[in-house]
Amino acid sequence: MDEELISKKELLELKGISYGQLYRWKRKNLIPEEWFIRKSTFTGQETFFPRVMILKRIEKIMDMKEDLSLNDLADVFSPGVPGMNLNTEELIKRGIVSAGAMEIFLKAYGKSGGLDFEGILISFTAQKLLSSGDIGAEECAAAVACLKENYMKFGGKNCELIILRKLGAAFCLLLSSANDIYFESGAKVIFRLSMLSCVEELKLKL
Amino acid sequence: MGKSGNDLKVNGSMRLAGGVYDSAAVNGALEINGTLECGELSVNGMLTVNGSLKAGSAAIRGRLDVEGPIEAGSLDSKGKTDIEGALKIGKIKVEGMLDAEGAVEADTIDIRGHFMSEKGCNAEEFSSIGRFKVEGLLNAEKINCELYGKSYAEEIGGRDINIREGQGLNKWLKNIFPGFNMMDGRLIAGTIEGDSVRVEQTQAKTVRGTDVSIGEGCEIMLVEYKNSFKAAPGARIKESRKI
Repeated sequence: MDEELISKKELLELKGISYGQLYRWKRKNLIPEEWFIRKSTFTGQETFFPRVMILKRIEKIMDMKEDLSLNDLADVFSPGVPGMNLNTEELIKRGIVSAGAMEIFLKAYGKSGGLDFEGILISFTAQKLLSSGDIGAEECAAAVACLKENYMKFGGKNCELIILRKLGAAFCLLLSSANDIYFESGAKVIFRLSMLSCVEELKLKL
Repeated sequence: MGKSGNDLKVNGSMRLAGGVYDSAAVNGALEINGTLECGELSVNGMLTVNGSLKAGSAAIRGRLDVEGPIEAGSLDSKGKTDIEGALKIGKIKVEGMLDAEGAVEADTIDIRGHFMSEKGCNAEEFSSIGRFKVEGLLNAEKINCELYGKSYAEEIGGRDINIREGQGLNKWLKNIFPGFNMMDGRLIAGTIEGDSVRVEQTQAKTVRGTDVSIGEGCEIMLVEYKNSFKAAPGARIKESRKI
């Protein structure tokens, strides 16, 4: 993706934050290292960020820093929660996954009882897919199977889940971020989801 | 090996396979081929760890060499410490030399002497009297440096950044005999960014900050400031602008 960039200067100006804050957030791993893009400009080196992602992230940090310490915030943005284990009933009871979605998820995931963070994330993704109204049960099951097999291979890096449909047949792909992707004209993207934002959303619910 | 109630005491020279101890005291030389984990570590002499080191507190008088990463509540080193892996330490205090090949993460870093970091350095407070060399980013809330000898940092970022020339005898002699410069205290840096930035004897491509003060002996290509900007008469600044 030839995404739009924002310079550090512009970012600070736009959000009214200081260098000190930005460096503090970087130190606390609230802003991932990969987002700092160094480029030479005519005035020397400058740092740029992926515009949409950094603006969203800074808004979130500023929203939440009232209630959470920086270290708690870092946990929200980190890609996994080691040692997490929740029961499927618990997930349903807490309203994270609906009973219907859980049934479809379990059939495809092939494991019941306690779920680790990855499992919870995939069930939560299934819930999102189904509640969007665009995805049928079978397509959702295919996505769950795809995530189960491949999500760990990204090793916590952001990836995107894309579901395509052409002439009634759907298929599902996972790709690492920052890739250009084009489709043939008959194909239609029916669902696109950044797994990292999904992780963040889920963590706030847990 | 599980958690044991053992204390390790070495007087003389010894080689061990590592282990978990409540405390370890070395007078002489100890070489560990494996991982050493202990609550309290005290070394007079030399400790070599061919593996990783975990300690509640570590006090070293002499030499410490660690091949892997080190994790400690505090590291107090008088002498020379070489770490090949990453450092995750609450409080670092060094009189002498610390050479870190991995990334450094600490609450406070207090160096008198020589500090080298090859993969960047994160701390809440960084203070140095002497010289330092940081490849990558030196990132700390408060940075206080007194320069003796040549220091280098690719990038410096934080809230309060204060770089001063050495305050000792050298400065005093320089005042009496202009041109005298035995301990050429200088900092060479790429970019320096902070809320409050004060530098002396610094050569940098870019200095950016809310309040920027450029002192004597500086050579800066570009200064960008938001609020205030001061430059000493002897400072050479190619370009400055308010943003």
